[in-house]
Amino acid sequence: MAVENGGTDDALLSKPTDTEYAVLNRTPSAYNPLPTFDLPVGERRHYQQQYADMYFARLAQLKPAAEQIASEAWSDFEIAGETPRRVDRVLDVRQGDLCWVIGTCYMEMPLKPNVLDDIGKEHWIAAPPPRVKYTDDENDQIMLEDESGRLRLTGGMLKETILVTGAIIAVIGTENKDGEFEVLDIRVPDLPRQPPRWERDDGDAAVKGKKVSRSRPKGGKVAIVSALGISGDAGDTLPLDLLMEWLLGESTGPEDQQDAATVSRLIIAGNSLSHASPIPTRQELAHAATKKGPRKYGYDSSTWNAAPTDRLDTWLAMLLPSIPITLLPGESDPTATSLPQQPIHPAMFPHSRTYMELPGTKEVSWFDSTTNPAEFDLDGWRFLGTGGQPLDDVYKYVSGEERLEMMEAMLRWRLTAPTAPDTLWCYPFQDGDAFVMRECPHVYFVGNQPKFETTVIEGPVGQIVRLVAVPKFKDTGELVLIDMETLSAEVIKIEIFEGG
Amino acid sequence: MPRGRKAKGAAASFNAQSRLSFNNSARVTKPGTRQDDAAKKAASKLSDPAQAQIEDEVKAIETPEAEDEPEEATEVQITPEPESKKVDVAIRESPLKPKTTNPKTKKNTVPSKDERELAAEKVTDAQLRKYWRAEEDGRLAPRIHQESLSLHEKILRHFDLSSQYGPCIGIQRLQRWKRANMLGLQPPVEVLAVLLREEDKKTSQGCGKLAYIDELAGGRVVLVE
Repeated sequence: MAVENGGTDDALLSKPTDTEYAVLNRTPSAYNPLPTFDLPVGERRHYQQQYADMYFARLAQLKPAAEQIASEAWSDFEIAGETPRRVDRVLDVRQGDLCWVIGTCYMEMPLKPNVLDDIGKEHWIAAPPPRVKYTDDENDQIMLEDESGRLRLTGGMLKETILVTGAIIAVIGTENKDGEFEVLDIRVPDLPRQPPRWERDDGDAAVKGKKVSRSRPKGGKVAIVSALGISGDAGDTLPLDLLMEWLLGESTGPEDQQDAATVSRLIIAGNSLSHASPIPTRQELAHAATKKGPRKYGYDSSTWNAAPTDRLDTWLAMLLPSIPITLLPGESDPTATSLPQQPIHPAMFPHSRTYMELPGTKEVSWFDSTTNPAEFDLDGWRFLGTGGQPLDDVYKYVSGEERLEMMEAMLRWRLTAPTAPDTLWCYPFQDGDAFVMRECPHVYFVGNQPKFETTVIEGPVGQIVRLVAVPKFKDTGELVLIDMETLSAEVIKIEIFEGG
Repeated sequence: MPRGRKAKGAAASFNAQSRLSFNNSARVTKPGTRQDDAAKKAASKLSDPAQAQIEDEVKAIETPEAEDEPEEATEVQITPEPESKKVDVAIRESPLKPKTTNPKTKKNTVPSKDERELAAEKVTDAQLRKYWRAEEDGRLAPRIHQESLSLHEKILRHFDLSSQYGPCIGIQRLQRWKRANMLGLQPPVEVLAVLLREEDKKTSQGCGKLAYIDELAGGRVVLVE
């Protein structure tokens, strides 16, 4: 194992000695998850309601924030001696009148997946490849919608802003003679209030009557990895083992081991198993359709392969005694495909189960199998993370390639999954949209991205958020480390030396 | 998918394995432990969150006074009181200010009633008639084809079709009022007064739980906790 940053090879290449090396202890991590994306269990979870409730709730929750930003921005706006007035409903705009209105953005895109196309294509053997982008510049229409109706938007301003279906926006302009609304400016609700560090832990301690401690221990680093992609083949053994050895401090020399000892928690952001989703793809259905013999719809137990989950479980069980782990499910993991994905059940982890909470209790456990998206407090900082599905879906609506810009846009819209009922499967929330961000996180990470990218964005009231796009470990071998004191991100790359 | 559903039934008949259940409440455990807990929880469900809140507030106020160090005590005293009272005060402030607390956590710590719900309990029949007359006077022409309806039904149908409180299909009228209230849209308290009267058989005028259009469209009553 060649270590690139030199210097530490001496300890590995010398004779065995009797010197006692100090035993390194891992930095502890203070972890406090939030139940934002937990769905009700059993009979209390209903699917009979329609998605219109969700759009209504989203608009009602974000309208006050958008109104505040828009009225501040446009109160002294003047064009040709005319001042704008606020209009309550989207259909109340009048021709020639300068006004502003808030509504939900709807993008009419003919290349979006359409359920009617799906039904028609079921009879074909070869499916057309899925589209990378839904955008089509000539035929796309952008509309503003609320409970009264829809209003078509035009104007050059629209091409400059990132817009997807489901974003709540405030637009100012006037209706032209074609009945379309010409947009002069667009505002979004922008970042919500950011809690100060340790706010929730201090609050909990105060409510319980404990002394609020002013001095907290220094945080270490948190490791985020994504798309381990365990498929049960022989090919995924070595990089995973190298990663495990690095995290456990079993590899490299004393200096690197000290670095590894500062890693206080591992977050696995989605797609740990490469092929475990319960919904078969179109290719599999087509293949099953051509097989002879009695047809078995749904689950076919003869094709069950226990190797991937076994491998993941033993890998986690080797890491768990030393480091706490948070596991987010992803698109190809064995949990529901609709957002918010519920935690992977403890039944999948017979060995790692001892580190999870007992069924029926609500305490925070060492091994936290959590929802996707997930919101939690780590060393006082608020983390918000997803397994990548919402960002990948927004990517399909937007004609650019800048994923960090899309992540920033999602934060400024205050929506964790803006395209949720439209092209992303989700639970039909009735009382309130759980994807509306109520508090601004300090770190926003998204897994399953093609490459590592990071930046810091600022909000209108001094919020500072670190955005991290976590690359796929299976393709790049990269692992992201975030320092808990400075919130800076760095990358550790695990590569296998091939060739001479 | 219809094909999948039919096949599942056929497969179940020649598969002898019984259905696995991950439902914790149906687990076979030692007699007297889980069932008691569940029964206790069900009995005290309403009072427990409120009780816990009161206990927390009392503890938070009492423990800083028991502190030995004076500076720590004053500092700690300031922070817990607004923290623990924040939950209560936020519920009361909702009709006056735009919402800042989230409705999701409130669902779990419910059902302490807020001002508007308490005001709805005090609404009299005369106030209902006055409200309805004001609504009718706001229109240019009277509503036709509503002669045979009771006052309660007229008020509720008007509430159903007020789209600013959200879609009326797929949700019960009372839930819809509560949802609109939680989101800060200020639905009229008279409508809640009518809905509360409808709950009681003596004052009910025969209005349904679902919106009228929903019933026509074949909606079913869904029990939401």
